[in-house]
Amino acid sequence: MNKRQVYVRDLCKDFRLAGPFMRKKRVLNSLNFTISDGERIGIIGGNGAGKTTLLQIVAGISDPSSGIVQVDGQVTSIFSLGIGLRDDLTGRENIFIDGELQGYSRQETLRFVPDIIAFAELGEFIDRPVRNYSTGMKSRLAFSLLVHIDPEILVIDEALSVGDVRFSAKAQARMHELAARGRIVILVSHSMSAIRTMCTRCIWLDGGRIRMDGEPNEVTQAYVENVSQAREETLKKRVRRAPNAESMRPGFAIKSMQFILDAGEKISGEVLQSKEQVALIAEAEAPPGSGCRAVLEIDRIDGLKICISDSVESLPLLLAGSDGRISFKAEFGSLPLNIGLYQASLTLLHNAVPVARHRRSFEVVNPMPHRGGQAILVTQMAISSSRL
Amino acid sequence: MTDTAYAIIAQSLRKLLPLERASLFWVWLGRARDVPCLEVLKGVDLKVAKGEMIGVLGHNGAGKTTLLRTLAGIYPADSGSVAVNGDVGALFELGGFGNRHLTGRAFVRKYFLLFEVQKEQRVRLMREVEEFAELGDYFDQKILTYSTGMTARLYFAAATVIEREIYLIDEILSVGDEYFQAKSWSRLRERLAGGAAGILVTHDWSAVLKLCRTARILEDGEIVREGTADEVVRDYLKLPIPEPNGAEIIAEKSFSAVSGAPMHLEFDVVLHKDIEVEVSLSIEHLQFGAGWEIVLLNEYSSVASTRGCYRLRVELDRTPLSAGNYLVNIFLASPADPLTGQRETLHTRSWTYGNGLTMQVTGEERPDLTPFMTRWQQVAS
Amino acid sequence: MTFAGFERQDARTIWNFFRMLLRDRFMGSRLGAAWSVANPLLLLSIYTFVFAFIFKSRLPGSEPGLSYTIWLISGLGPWLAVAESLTSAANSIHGNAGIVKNLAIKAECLPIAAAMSGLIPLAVSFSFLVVLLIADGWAPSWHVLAIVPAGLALFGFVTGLGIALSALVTFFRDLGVALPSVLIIILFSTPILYPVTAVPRALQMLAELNPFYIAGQWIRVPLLDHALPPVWGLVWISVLAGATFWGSLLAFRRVKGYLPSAV
Repeated sequence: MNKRQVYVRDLCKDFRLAGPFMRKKRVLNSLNFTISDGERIGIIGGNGAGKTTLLQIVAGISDPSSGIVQVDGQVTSIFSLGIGLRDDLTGRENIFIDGELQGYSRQETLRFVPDIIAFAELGEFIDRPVRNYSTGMKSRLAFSLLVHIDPEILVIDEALSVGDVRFSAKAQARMHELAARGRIVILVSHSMSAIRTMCTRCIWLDGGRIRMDGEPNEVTQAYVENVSQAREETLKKRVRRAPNAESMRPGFAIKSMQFILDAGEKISGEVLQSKEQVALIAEAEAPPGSGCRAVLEIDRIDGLKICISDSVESLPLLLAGSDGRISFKAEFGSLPLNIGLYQASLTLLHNAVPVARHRRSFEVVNPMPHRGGQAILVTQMAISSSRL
Repeated sequence: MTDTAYAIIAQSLRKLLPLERASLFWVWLGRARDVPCLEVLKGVDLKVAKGEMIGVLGHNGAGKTTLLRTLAGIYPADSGSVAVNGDVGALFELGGFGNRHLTGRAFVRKYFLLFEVQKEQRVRLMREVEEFAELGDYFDQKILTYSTGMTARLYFAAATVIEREIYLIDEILSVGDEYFQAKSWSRLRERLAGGAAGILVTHDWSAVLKLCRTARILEDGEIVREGTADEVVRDYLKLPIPEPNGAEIIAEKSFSAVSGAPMHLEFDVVLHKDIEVEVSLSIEHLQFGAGWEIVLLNEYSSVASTRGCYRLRVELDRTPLSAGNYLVNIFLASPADPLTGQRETLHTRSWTYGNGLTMQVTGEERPDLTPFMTRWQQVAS
Repeated sequence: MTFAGFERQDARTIWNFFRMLLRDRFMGSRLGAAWSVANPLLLLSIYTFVFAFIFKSRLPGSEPGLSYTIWLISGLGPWLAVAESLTSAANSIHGNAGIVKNLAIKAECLPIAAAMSGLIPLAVSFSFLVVLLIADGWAPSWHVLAIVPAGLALFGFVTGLGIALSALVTFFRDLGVALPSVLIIILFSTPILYPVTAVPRALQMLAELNPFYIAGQWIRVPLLDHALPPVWGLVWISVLAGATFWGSLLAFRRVKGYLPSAV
């Protein structure tokens, strides 16, 4: 058997933009890589990084604008399920059509049919027109058609959503099997764990260029870190837009509010780490000598109220100095928050009436996420065991 | 309750879908009353009170999409009745009206045209969609240049921008990345908090827990189960109650703690043979409609490795939970395989199996879920 | 206020669909809406070129040239509108499956809105015609007012056919495929590109009952000859239009509930 290989040199792809002018957008920019026999490549990247375009070019659905793409081997591509199904034919008839498309003889297809039907679990629906199928049934049939393929080069886009829990577990297992059988597998996925378990190598595309190419664990980790940095950028933008400081009564204002590490070191940006020793420092303005209270509310970005803390829990009143300033600090100790986007909102109260407010969004990252679920807090309970 | 207190009332709803398209010709001619049909809904009774969101769980082919289409008035019912009290936002087959050659903006314009949005509102709503979808320059590019996630963002933003009294939702909340999902959830919750009612039809039980107080199971065109969301989810999952496999958890059904005070839970583990056992524990909060959250989750830690009975003490110097009822799950497993990371489950007590434990936290009722300790200090400026 | 089961707000729905269909139609093409003007002009030009200059057809007793061209376009223009309306209406349900399946609408509004898309080529070819007429030194007479009732009857007839076709195409996809050929057959069997006198005597009677011919005459004769064709023709096509519209609407409503699951 020949060596399977995907060889890509200086691959560029331009898209024409909508509108009357011949404006172009470079979607892929001088890509260079070689995939050798036996490699299973994961491709990751943000929205618009060019992942789908790259797959389409490798699969031969789309042509490169310039550069060399040489694919030695027969490519089987899975982009979206169910596109190829003929609505007017029954499920069974569709299996035969698919067999023809894949280049099998009727005899060969006949051998697969029972397998496919069993896998799809469509019951009597297999002899009904596909038009009468629900969305889930369609994708089940479409997925089952892949059961018998013996791919040389297998190209898969995105996580395949194939219906209910039970079937999707079955489908996942089959996917792994397929990937293991393929001589070369190219997989685009948002699931880092899928990439880590299924792939031997990972390519990170960023704005149409290869940002990193290497061992899946390393690449995915670098990517995840980068994504949280990028999120910080958008977060900053959004924060700038939102009115983050307001004064409800003249003479009162919260001048600044910032997270710091307990060591006193300021944190650049808005990204905190779980279990870091973190505090929030704030500086407010109030008429000299007046006493105030502060309330800090932390909300998760989807609106869940995580924590409300009132300064009276640990202090009588915050007193403005003769210069009309109050500086204060709220210490969290070891930050118990887990991964997520949050908003901190600090309100200054004078005689129980809110007089000034300051808001700030922040993100918490956790370099050592828990396996098997994500809790709101990272706090660990102490468990001890003694023999009875 | 009077009928006006309901947003949706469906009674003995039956829906037949024709099997053969060509047979409709005779109906068209007025020559036939009956065509060979498949009975997709077999007498569904469903009432949704105003301001309530109910979940309908069902496997593929149970008739979920047909149910929504019938309630939305797209399919006429073959018998039975549907009364819908309010304007309906249909969140299924998002983007079904679209054409991938349209730009994002043109798609939204078409959407507004179809839904007869008033001229004066279009500019504002368009801006809202643009902001919510966060597509940047891509908003003016053709949809076919979008990635899957971007397309989903556009469709969701367009479909939810108009406030409705009733939402019919079909499996849409699994779109986009984590950030966008959070945004989508909060938009839906906002709409519900504004008094909207609706039905969420899905096979994703966790979505039902997050959004719905009560739920139904739709099976083969019939509602076979009705109850609170967690009961229904448990029935839907039909997980077999795990049999102790060499090790067993022995615990009272309920624990208690005081908000802000030290937490102290105790239970026993019996090892029926010499086997290395590790334990993990989670405390979850399930408030229907508001969400299902894992509040605390412990890493696995070692229990014992020789046959016998052991008492486990779980301690935390301060209970970071506000008053209320919580769910406690306990997992026993073998140590992780150093190569694959897999563990063998030995015994589990969890609400998903119906054998879970609860914890009642007493103390101050607070609006926040996890009041953790914060120490305030005034500092010299 | 209701009429034939339509309410006031349905008029707006139809209007919205009409605008949507126009936008969808030329979407993705570089020149966009310009095509809706260019298409009929191109077709008129090619027909004129072939018939007037290649075949050198002429009307009995007149010279080939501008007057034949005017005569040809006065008949061909309305036909282009009819063809556009029928094609567009026939595909209106099947081609907009996304809307039919996901929106609680009065489905019959779709073929009606689609039938209105014939108004564009009609307007274009009439403008073109008026330019040619004025170049030929033409002045209108009161007879042109007769075009209004004839046009309405023709529109009613075509819309009725369109409603029927839109439903039938969803049951029998073949119909949609065959429609362009059928339209060509109708075009050449109707005395539009040639005078009715050219039809064999035995078939002339039949040709004169052809609603497309009558409607064509009621547009062509007042415009070019400053006269009116026999009034029975107008009555006949009005009755036919009413019956077709009514009948197909009834039939459409019988199957309406099945359409979302059949597209």
